[in-house]
Amino acid sequence: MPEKVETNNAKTKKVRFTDMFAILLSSKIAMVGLVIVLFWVFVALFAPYLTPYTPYEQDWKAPNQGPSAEHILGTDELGRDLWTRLIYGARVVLVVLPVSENISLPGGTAIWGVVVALLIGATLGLIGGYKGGWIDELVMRLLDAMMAIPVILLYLIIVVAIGASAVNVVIAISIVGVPGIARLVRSLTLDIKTREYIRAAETRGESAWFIMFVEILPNTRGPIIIDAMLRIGYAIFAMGTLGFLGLGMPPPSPDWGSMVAKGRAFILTGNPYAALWPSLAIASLVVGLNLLADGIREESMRYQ
Amino acid sequence: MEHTSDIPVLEVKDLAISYQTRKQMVPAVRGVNFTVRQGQTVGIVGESGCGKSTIAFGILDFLGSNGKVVGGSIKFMGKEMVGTPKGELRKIRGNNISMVYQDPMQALNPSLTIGTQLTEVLTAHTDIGEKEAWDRCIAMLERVHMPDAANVMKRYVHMISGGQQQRVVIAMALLNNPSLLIMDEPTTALDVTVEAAVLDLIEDLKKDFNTGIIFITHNLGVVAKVSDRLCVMYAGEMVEQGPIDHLFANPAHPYTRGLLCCVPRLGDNLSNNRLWSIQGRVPDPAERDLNACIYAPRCDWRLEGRHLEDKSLIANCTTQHPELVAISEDHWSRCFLGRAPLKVPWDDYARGQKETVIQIPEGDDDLSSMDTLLNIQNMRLYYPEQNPSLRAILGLEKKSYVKAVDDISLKVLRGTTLGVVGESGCGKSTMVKGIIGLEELTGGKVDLMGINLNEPAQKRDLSLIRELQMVFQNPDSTLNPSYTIGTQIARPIQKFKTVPKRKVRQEVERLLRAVKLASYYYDRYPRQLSGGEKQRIGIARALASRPSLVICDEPVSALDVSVAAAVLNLLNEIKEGMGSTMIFIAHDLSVVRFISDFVAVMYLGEIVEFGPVSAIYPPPYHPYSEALLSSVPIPDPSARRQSIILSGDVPSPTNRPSGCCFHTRCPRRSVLPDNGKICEQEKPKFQRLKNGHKILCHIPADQLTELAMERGDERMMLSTA
Repeated sequence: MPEKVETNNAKTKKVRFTDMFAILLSSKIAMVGLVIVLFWVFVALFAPYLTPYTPYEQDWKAPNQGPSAEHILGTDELGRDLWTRLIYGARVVLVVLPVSENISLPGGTAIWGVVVALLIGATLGLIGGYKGGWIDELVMRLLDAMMAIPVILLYLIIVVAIGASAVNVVIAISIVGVPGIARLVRSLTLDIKTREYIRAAETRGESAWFIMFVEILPNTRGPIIIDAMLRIGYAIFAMGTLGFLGLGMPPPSPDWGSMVAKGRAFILTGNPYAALWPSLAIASLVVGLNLLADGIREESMRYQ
Repeated sequence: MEHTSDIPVLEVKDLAISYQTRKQMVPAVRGVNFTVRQGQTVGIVGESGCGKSTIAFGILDFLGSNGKVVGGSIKFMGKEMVGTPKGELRKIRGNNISMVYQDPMQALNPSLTIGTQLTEVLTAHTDIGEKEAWDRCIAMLERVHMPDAANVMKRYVHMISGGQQQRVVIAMALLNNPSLLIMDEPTTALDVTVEAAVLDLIEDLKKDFNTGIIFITHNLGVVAKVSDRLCVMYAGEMVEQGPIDHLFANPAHPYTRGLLCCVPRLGDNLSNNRLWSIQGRVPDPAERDLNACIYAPRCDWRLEGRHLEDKSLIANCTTQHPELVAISEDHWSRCFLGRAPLKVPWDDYARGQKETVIQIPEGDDDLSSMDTLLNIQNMRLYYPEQNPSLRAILGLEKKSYVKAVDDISLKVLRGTTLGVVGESGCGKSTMVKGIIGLEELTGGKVDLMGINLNEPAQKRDLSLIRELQMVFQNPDSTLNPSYTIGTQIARPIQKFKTVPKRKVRQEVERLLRAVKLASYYYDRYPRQLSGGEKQRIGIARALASRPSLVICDEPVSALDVSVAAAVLNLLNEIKEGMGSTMIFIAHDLSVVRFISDFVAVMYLGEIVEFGPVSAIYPPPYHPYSEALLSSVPIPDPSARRQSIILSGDVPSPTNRPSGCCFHTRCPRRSVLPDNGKICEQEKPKFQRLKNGHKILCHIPADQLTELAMERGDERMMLSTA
């Protein structure tokens, strides 16, 4: 480790940031992933400026059309512009969470789902890992029981039980995500709690909460960030599945999964576009996130 | 040494190895020259990061995807290895070069029996049948003095002890009768008594097999014991090379001299309180100035020009790269000073005087008149053993306990340092965990200035917690990597409110100064610090609450010698400056001797000997202390003395031997009638001697003294006078 001459805290932070960026740059895989993900984030953020239509605008004269100058990706069976629906669909996934008709929160449905899962999962994992004993046993067996149910089935059960809405999709995603995150955080905690700085905190009489959240949690962030990226990918997948089965955003919301479901009927009649574009969108975003996560993981391991 | 053939086993000339990193090619090793002949052991010594292992990997061509030999030549039995195709190299290596690694647990496969792993070596390289291979492996195990070799073949790795594992690894390395054996820190992971046995074994093998050995280590004592020649590495360069006796008697390079001076010795005067330490640290490979003497920034001869009559010698140190110059026939040093340092005796270096030497009043053999800070009475700490059988779960079987600490009574006097020594697993760490409250006591009583300490730390009062703080062993895990140094030292200050809020930063800087670090360390992260610096921060953090008792759990055992010396000096200064009381745990007897006022020797959860440091190191000894002392490798090749090899393994603490806990391995019990029958039947009582010295043994103290003298331990006697 070359000795840093900077004595200023801000500068040290900056060095850390450029280190992170150097890791990104040196991995081609991560860069490809980053470009794909940034593309989707960009179109989702600026969706209103990238299209002259709204996602609900129906053009009865032009249903089920292929790409043209007017509709660059074509239209669906109600004559809605597919490009518009696609990028507004990305908005729901990545940028806004519509809570009700009037209120929407920043941060997409997939991101919210993963963040909520992280909060709950990390807390459970920390408690189980640090406390050990019967608490650990209880938490982990409950989560194991959840993991025993097939994921798709679990999504279906949850969404069918509480109804289909963006918020409920968030709830479903987070409930399904909790066991995996808890397991990951628990295993990291088990390792970190044997370190001597934890002994030092204990001999200083720190409370268990302080040790878990101040001493242990920040040191789990590397693997957690990578895991979260992968999980956002899964969440997008899950949203697609739920939408396809008619359990996603209520229509007429531009939901990728339901777009595929609607467009499916017209594939054989010679209009595959309505199903093709959202499928490609889901695939590319998930692949992009996976590439990004894998690239960062590999690159950060190589120079450890 | 036997007759050496004309072709050396290995001839390394001007070897240079570089590693590719993200930014550039970084030279890791350069200018390495040495020759290994048959039956000769060449020691390579140096601090971590000096390229010792890189040389070994270079010879074996195991440099990995980013390492490359960029210059020089490696000739094995006269055949050039650099540039030879990989396939051919593999053949040569497999049959003729073997390697022994540091950690036997990692070198052996836990899922195969030892027999399978050993026979594989023979059947893979030759067309020997299974049966014959099996027999030859047993014979080889017997040659490395493995007890019960035939049975060991059928066992798995976890079923034998660490010392035996290392014997298996050595046997494995010798099976195909290699011409060259490379040993990379083969004894570093072992306890001293086991280390002594393994070193003896290596000595024997050298005579029997006529193999050339490269012995890599950081420990000067170990290398003095086994090597014929010594190469000293510094920052990737070979700085000095010569025959071992000559090199230890006349070290010419300032770095070699520095290294030799850094080590505390058993023979040192007890009133010394400073060790020589080399300033600065080993430069990172990417920062080395290739056109200057690599040691110049740390060299006391250049910086201070000590004893140097001709100052012109040091004119080129920072502008030219020195070449190896002959000191005498067969002894080279890479230094512009050449022979000049030889005129100055190397052991002539400043050593301070202890300001306070603990005086024990005449006749006070219980230490009752002294000011006791910590009083431990009959402390017991048992761990219930997990028994997975159904009967145990139903509560039908008697619960068994691991008796980590069994019935210990100790006093720690105010302002003194208590050293606790013993091999791994003797319960020394568990004892301090009990004191500091990380483990709950099973029985007994501990009090600090009259306040009971039996409660675990979470239940203790904050004002009590701040009185006891701890310094940890591993510099890499002692600090939380997520926070700056300042935040971490400030935390105990804020928690215990030692100073008002607005003065916290000032107080942190004061503590940084106290551990000899500049205040700009405040904003650094642990990963930007070297091991020694991290350890200093650990000390500063422990001192932040102004504790009355600091417990140091092996604080220097993971550090390089020159860094360890500086940390030991620091601890001594803190002790004298602040009058702190310390418990210092270590497995290294010379370190304990240097830093302690009192010493407790632990074996299997019990204290077997206790006394002031002046009484522990000369005879009479407890037989276990005697074995420990005799095993300490001494960095002086002329002092090759026979160490007492303890037979057998440390018994399991669940199943403690009856009577004296040491009787299963005691080399002295035969002097008692009936081959020490009493040792098996009756628990010995402490024999109280002068000045609080006490020994837990049935053999009378006078007889123990005689036995030690018979063995020729006069040197020890003299050194403490």
